[in-house]
Amino acid sequence: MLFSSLIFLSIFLPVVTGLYFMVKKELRNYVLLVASLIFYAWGEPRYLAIMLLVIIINYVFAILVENEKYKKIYLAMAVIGNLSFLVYFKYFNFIIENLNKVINLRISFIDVIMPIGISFYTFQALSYVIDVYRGEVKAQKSIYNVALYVTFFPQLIAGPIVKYHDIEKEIIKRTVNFQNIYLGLKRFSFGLGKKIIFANTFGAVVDQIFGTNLDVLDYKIMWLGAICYSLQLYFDFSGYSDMAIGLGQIFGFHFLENFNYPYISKSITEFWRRWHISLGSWFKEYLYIPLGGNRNGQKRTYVNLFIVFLATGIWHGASWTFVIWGLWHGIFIIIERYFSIEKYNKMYQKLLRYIYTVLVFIIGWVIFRADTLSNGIKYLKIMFGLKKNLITGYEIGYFLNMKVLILLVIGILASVSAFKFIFIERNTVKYKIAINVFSLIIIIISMILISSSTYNPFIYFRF
Amino acid sequence: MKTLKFKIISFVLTFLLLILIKGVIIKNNGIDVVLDLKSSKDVEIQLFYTTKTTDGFTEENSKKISLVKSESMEKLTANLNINKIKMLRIDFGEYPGVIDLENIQINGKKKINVNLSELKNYNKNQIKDIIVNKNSVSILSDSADPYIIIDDLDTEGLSSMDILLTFTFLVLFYFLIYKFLLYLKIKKMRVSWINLVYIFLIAFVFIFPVIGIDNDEIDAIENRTLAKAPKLKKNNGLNLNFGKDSESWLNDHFYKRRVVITFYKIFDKVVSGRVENENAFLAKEGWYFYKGDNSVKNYQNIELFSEDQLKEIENNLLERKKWMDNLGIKYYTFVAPDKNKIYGEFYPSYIKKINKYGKVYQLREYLKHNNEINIVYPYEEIMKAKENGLLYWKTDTHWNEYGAYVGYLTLMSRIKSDFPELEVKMENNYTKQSEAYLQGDLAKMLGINSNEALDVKYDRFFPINGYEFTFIKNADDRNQFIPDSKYDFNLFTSRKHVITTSPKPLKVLIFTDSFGALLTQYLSDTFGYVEYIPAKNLNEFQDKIINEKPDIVIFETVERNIGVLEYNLPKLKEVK
Repeated sequence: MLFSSLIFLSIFLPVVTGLYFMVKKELRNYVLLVASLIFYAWGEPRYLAIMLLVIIINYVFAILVENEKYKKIYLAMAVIGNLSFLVYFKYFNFIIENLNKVINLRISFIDVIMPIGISFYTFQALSYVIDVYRGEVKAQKSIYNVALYVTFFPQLIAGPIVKYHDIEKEIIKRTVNFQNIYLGLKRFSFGLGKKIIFANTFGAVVDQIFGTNLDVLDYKIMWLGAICYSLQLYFDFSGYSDMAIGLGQIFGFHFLENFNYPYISKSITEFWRRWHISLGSWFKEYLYIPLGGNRNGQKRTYVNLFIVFLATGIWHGASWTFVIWGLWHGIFIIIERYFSIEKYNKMYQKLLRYIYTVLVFIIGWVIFRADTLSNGIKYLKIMFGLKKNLITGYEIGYFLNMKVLILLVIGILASVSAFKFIFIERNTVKYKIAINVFSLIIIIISMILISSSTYNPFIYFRF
Repeated sequence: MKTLKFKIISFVLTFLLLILIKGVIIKNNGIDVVLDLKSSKDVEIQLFYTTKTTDGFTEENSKKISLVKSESMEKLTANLNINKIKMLRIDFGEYPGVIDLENIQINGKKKINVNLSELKNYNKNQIKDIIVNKNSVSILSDSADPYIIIDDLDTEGLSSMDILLTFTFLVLFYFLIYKFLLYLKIKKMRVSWINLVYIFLIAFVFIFPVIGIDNDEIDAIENRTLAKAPKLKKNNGLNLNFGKDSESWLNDHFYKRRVVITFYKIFDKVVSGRVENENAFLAKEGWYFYKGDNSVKNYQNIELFSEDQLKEIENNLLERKKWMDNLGIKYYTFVAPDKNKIYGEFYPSYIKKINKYGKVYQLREYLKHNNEINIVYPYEEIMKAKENGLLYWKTDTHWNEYGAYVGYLTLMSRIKSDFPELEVKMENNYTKQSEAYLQGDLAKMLGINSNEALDVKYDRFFPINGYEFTFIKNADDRNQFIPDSKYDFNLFTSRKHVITTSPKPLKVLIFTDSFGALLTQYLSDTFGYVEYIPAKNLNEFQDKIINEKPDIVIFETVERNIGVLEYNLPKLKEVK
């Protein structure tokens, strides 16, 4: 089920929320668990089995890992177990494809579809077992609570990746009140608006531009495509996180922030402190630090950073474009560390740093979006004037209508925190009314957009 | 003690609510139209309704119901989502036949039984006769669009209390109040009323799509059968697609769906300054263009055939020709020009051509050295005819009757060189009549009802001496062809199998897409036996060609699908 579907907004959410508040406190976790399982199984019930398996494995291993004896072996088994699900469903065909190419093998592909959200929930499950291993938390006695942690529907499909130690207490005890519902709904509405009004509009432009033969486009259109894609990603992903955080809050959970205006960053290092924070901190806590972090000398630190960003790239998908994108960021992080870039803080230096950062992440996104590496490079060449098409098939107006232009301006301003002031809570009646009306309008527009996307005329002549 | 007090307050408040809103949830039952009838064929009955006697009938205010052919009377009920009815028009399907009616009942606040013996006195169209039997009437129609208008109705819609929903709502309301009071008291929470109102309003907006379910089976504007209600069990097992099914069902049936979609179309047009979606767009001066099937790229002539591709097509066509020659058949390839090639001047200026000419033009030029291959592409002829009138519909992707006629003439001039005895239908064989065209697949894709369409007139072609051909097999088993009925585009574009005969010579098989449909009226009056077969790949029908032994085979495709000529699988079999 998607947050941006009628079935979720009009039926699932009201019913689950209603039930949640009506049942006794002790039953609330069960309501959420059952709801989460239904939520997950809705589109594809077959993959429920995999998720249940992940839950059982981690429940059992967390208890085993708590034992002093063989705890390392058990941990290793748990990690391998979780990762093997991920590797099998997400990377197996990619590995085969490359093996076939490199050493001329003829292994045939397996017929699997990646279970939705698997990258997120296996990482959450890993966080749980590792936290128990480290003694930061106690293993859960109740398998239902483990199940709820892994499957909790607000963050199940697209994060944020909630770490067990951040949420442990709230799984057992949390405050549920109207203030939380209010704040949660409001947060949810902004997330929904980001996704439906902004990300979907930019997405349509991006699909058109990236779907066009690159040989007939000029640099202006390439820039439009790259900027729209950068905004689409930000609004889509941060919108989704907002919705997850908002939903969590309705039920009394407090997830950590996942985005903090990444597009105002003045270095790539800073960018990763602001973009998909839960993933960055997951890798930091469970990969970078175990590798030794920055405690084993400069060279080793660079190697560790390289590994972390290689893993970050691979985590995003089984394709070389993601690997290169990860390394692209990793390399700049290493360079920034080498030159200690963050100490250059004069006005003009800040400006230069900002321009540099924007260029690096936009170039990164182009590679991230391109279907193949060579197309990505071709795109960038045209974008930066290194390749010029003699005849072009479109003027920019084809892709840029009034609606897109308006949203583009608002989107750019919003992504660089120009409207941040709107969201700072104030205690005046005027403010409360204004922000509530604003949120309500966003919800109404989003609902209209979602509803009208069901228009699907039957056309005679296609057969 | 405290909780008892809360319970009482909640109960009283709930009770007050019940009294205040009288039953709380009133089910708007609308008006039911109940028909008892039977038909010898499957038909789609469309009910048009108005709430004022002065209103006209529109697709928006109509409902389609399907009647499956049967021996016994079927009860069909259609729920019209209105609270008043004045006129009802019953359209008995798209083709002639007999329908037996036992009962017409309109159930609103009043129950109205239409007196069947009076049916004759109502306004009607293309109904030859109404025969009054003992318990029923038989409606005989000889035409494509039979209907009766019952214009003396006057009843309001029925409303009733939805007991289950009301009860659920009251229970929910009770608990909500109760819980709310508990929170106020126990948590000593200061809930801001502004925020509380906000929560309720948001909840209302979320729930709005499901406060009533639209039970339409067919959407007249989208022209498709809407998703059926999901079932938990399927084929004796659990339905694993239940989630997806229920989602499609909700997406097709949520409350006020049509209103919301229409509102959005207007809103989007204002905000974006464009009428466009992934299928089609509105360009200059009221001209609509298709966007699917790479149509924009095709307009730009971005991709041309490579030398290898041209060679391959030439070989395929030669092979095809030789194969047909061995069977004593003359073969022609006929390419209908894309609308955007003919009316490119109305294309948006921000889309530019990369090459002057496209693939089809390139192919035709390439094949000029080869006299053996017959490829007809009436581009120049249609361009020349533009000064005489419109050749394509502005709201549709297809050519109109005039465009098809020019295409026909061009094709025939080629065929006539092989069959000099053929009599080509010249323009003076027809009278022309100017008519507006209110439909159009492109307008439909965009969900637009264009009033401007009323001002645009297209020439229709009627043979002075009437049509000479008759249908052996019609698209929907129509046994007659009635071209002078209303402007029924579907009659032509239903690309189902059609066979016609006339006293003329020669047998023709034509493999065609939707552009072939409007050729029917010309080709069928020119040849003795014409079979129209919807197909993109001729080779799949080789056995049929061998068996039918036609004199002529024509393969027709629209320009944007010219790539089909590159394929020649399955291979043509050896013939002697």
